[in-house]
Amino acid sequence: MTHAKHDDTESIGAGRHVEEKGSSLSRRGFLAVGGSALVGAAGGFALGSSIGGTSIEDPQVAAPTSAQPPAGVSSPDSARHATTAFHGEHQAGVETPATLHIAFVGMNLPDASRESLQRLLVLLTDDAARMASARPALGDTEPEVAEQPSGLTISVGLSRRLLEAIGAGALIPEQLVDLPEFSTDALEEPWGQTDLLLQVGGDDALVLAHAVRMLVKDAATLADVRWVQNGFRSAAPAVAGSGSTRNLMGQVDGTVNPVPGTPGFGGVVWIDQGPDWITGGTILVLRRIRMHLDEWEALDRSAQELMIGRTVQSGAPLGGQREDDAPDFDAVDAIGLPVIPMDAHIRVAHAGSLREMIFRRPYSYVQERGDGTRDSGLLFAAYTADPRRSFIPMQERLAANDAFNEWNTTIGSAVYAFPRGVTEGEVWAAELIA
Amino acid sequence: MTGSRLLATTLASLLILVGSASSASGHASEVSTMPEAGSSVSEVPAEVVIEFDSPIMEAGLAVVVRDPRGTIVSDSAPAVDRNEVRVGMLAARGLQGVFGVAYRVVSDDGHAIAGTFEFTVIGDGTAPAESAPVETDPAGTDPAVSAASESPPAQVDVVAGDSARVFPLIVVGLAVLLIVGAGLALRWRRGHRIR
Repeated sequence: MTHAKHDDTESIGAGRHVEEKGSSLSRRGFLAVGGSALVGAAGGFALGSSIGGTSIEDPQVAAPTSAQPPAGVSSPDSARHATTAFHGEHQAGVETPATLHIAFVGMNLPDASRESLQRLLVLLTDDAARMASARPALGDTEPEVAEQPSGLTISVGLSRRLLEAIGAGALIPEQLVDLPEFSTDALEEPWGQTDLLLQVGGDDALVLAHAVRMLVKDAATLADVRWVQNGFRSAAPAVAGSGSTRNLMGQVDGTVNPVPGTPGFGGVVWIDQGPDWITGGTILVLRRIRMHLDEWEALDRSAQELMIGRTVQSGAPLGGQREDDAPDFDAVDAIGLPVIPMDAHIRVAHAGSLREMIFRRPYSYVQERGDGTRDSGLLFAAYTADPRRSFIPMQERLAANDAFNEWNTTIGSAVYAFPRGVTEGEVWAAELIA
Repeated sequence: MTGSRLLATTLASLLILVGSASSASGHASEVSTMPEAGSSVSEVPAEVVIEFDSPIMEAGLAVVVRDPRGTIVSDSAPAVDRNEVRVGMLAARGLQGVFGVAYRVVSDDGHAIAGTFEFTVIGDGTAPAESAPVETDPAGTDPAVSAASESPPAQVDVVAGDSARVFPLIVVGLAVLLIVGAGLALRWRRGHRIR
């Protein structure tokens, strides 16, 4: 089987880069020579790939715009061929533009050993690097699907318990904590913590489904899938010029969020101290939040807006004009009551400083239950350099005081450390598993 | 359509309009308060209670009581028990004058309503009055004397426009048009019947 050849693509929008396919040495050829070198030899893999590899990378820096328009707004043809750089200082899928579709794949390792994890990460890194670059993974029986990756991003996250299991206790970053139990949570199986996470994003749902299938297939001897959380975003901005989209409650979702490509973003998201494998990485807090839409839709609009603290139509804070107006928490109305109620979501969630902020990248989900009813809500993905000072205190406040709790229940919760980005030929978390 | 059938149709249309008007404006409203709106009491109450004609939800609850100087004297934790909303009063001894209450609640069936009312603390007549004029009972220290001036509670819908007040007017206007139109149609038909 040969590589699927494809032409150079133009950079499209923020975060999309030119990937020049230069390697004439197929991995299959390399494996035929020294297949055994693959096992337990991340260094060997790197050596093999460096022979003949001439991929050119741009640094993974998104254009500094004030609002990132949703992905998929370029022409259909260019959008299909668009790639998002796999290699770089950071893993893709965080600061890169939000894709229209996402799949979070929660996996467990029956044999949670360093050797097993190493083998798994070697395989998965190679699959991910290929598929993100418009090349099929090895053994892909549908290589044509891989030719039009539509901005595919594939990222990995590791859990605290997996690191403990493989005996890497000394290399667990202090930021990787278990979340406390929050009083408003009603966690349900199977949506809990898993050993490892694959985050797969793409603008084309078919391409994404194929990528997930390929990754799961390759991991099958080493890891089982516990759950897959599929999510989607609207392609349309909530209001003209906004970087936010609407969620299933009709709200403008994504306001007050660090902007990718700005210096502030890095301070909020990227870890800059700790073991080597995690510096340049981040912590993902993934929460599955069920919306009680029947009850929410029974509220009149004024009531809905009181609970959130924002108008539905524009996303402006109550008392403000535009989505990006700073909320005035001191404003009082004509009869002397706070314009933004004391228990309004945006007041209770409000971060007092940059270091308390998270980067939110929410997706909507709809899950058929098989009995004619469905479960709708939000896949709330929050990226932070340290959840101890950002997500956890905020969630404690929300659990205690947020009016919005009546219409949302968290039914799933998991935390993962995203290793730093890799260079050509490197394996994810190489220092951890070496 | 015969004249009588036209009339029947007009009446039916009127009923539908009137019916929909009342359902559009049907939602929770304040039933009573303690202290009673517009009443006078001898001392600052320990709490203020507002009773509604339907259950109120906890989320979005806001009640603020201000003393005659405009200072907030209610605590920051109003509570709800089915149809009743109550808020405790911080120590405000010795103050006399008009106290103002403002509330904003959401009923269990999802309607946001807000309102205000006042009550007057007249004290025992011996303490110096605060800024607002005080009603005194010439008989002496009679507690809970009804106020001479009734200020009925002001209730407003928490809606961007005043649609709940305008809508009934629109209904009445349409009804008038329908009646006039039906009448004109009947006259026209009589006048132009083909013989």
